[in-house]
Amino acid sequence: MNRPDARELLHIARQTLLQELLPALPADKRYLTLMVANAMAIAGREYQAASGASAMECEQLQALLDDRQLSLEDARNGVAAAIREGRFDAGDERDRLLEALHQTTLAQLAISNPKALP
Amino acid sequence: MSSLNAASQAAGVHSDAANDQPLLAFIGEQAQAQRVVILQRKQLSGGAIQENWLLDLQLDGGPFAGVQRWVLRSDAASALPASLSRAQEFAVLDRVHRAGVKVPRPLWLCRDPAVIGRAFFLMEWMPGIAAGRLLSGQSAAQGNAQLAAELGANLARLHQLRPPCAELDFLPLPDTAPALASIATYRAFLDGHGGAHPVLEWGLRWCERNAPSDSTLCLLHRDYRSGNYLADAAGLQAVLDWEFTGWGDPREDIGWFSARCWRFARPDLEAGGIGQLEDFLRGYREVAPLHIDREQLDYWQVMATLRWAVIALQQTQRHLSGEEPSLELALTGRLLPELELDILRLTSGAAQ
Repeated sequence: MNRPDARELLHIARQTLLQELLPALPADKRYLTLMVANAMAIAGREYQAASGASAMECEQLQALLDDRQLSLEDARNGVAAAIREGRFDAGDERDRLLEALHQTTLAQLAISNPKALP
Repeated sequence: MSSLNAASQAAGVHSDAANDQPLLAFIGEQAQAQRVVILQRKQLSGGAIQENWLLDLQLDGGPFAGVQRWVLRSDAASALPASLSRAQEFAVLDRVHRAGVKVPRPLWLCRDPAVIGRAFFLMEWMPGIAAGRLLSGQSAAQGNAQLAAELGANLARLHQLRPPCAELDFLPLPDTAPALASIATYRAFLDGHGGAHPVLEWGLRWCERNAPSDSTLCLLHRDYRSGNYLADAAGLQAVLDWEFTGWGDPREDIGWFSARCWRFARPDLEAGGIGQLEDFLRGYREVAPLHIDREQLDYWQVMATLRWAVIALQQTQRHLSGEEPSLELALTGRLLPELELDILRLTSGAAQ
């Protein structure tokens, strides 16, 4: 495996951007530079956490549909369609759905913006 | 005006005579001026959809004689399908201005593409800060009660406009309950969009099952939020960006204004990150009666969050398709989990 890996490279590149380049840039480029830094941070977190988050989401959605063979994409499509048909409107089904969606959303939020985690 | 004059002179006369001639002639004719000179021009930020130019002009003769600071608003190269043309937006601005809504005073519309290359209109420049992050960041601990109340009162004045309205006959009337019409639109978008979004589907289903049956129709701004109005120490100056105006349930605008996704630096201040919701509603009710309880407010905040999620997906698509490569548009796609968490928060209660 290549070291530094993608996450390590992004980390040091981002640190260089914020600590050495940002102070030397004109004020009107500050916001843009912070957006670049944010994109790098998201990419770094995704590199580390994406496969785990996807596996967890796949498992959760498969369980909702009672089908362990589904790919993540098919499971998402299946759950979306079942929601629209009203299969998760009420009762235990609804509670199971909300619990699964809550967990998958928190996992995605931990990648995109951990500061917003409850 | 003296400081503006000094600034303009310092900047020098910036005028590309050959290209400006048709514009200067148009302004001269509309303003009945003998002579018009552009002292300064500057592109204003804000608007993937339009271009806004600040124009400092010297007019000789006519009712506008003197130095004027106006804004020229035209279509940008790429427009979103849901937005109004500049001619339509001018008609809306004119109508709401007469209804007493605080907006930049509209001046003249030019439909002739020969003048600057596309349709545009001119309006008065207004002072103030628009940036939602700045306005919310400056808010006191308890928020700005005056600004919140003014924003409420102003929205109530807009909501007094009811269909039919001959001048605004280009705005379609929903042929079903407004909430259900929006849900159908968002579902149609999601169906044509690659990849399913279970949380958005859940939010849409919840909104469908809880849709209000008592909607009255009025004129909505549809983007009434911090970031789209100008305010300063004197309070509210003007509401901007009328390109999404349409007929709908008045509570839709209130949900959009108060939804967590538009509170910027102050998620604790429910009135757009700048004030308390009670102050906003008090200002509204001083102008017109309004029935909205907590449950209905939650409902329209879910609708608002769904709408912003759909727009965020559309904006992301503009980047991904190569139509408009942009870091800001790309990052908009990564707002989805936050919006989805808001939807789950608001729809997980004991009620359905």
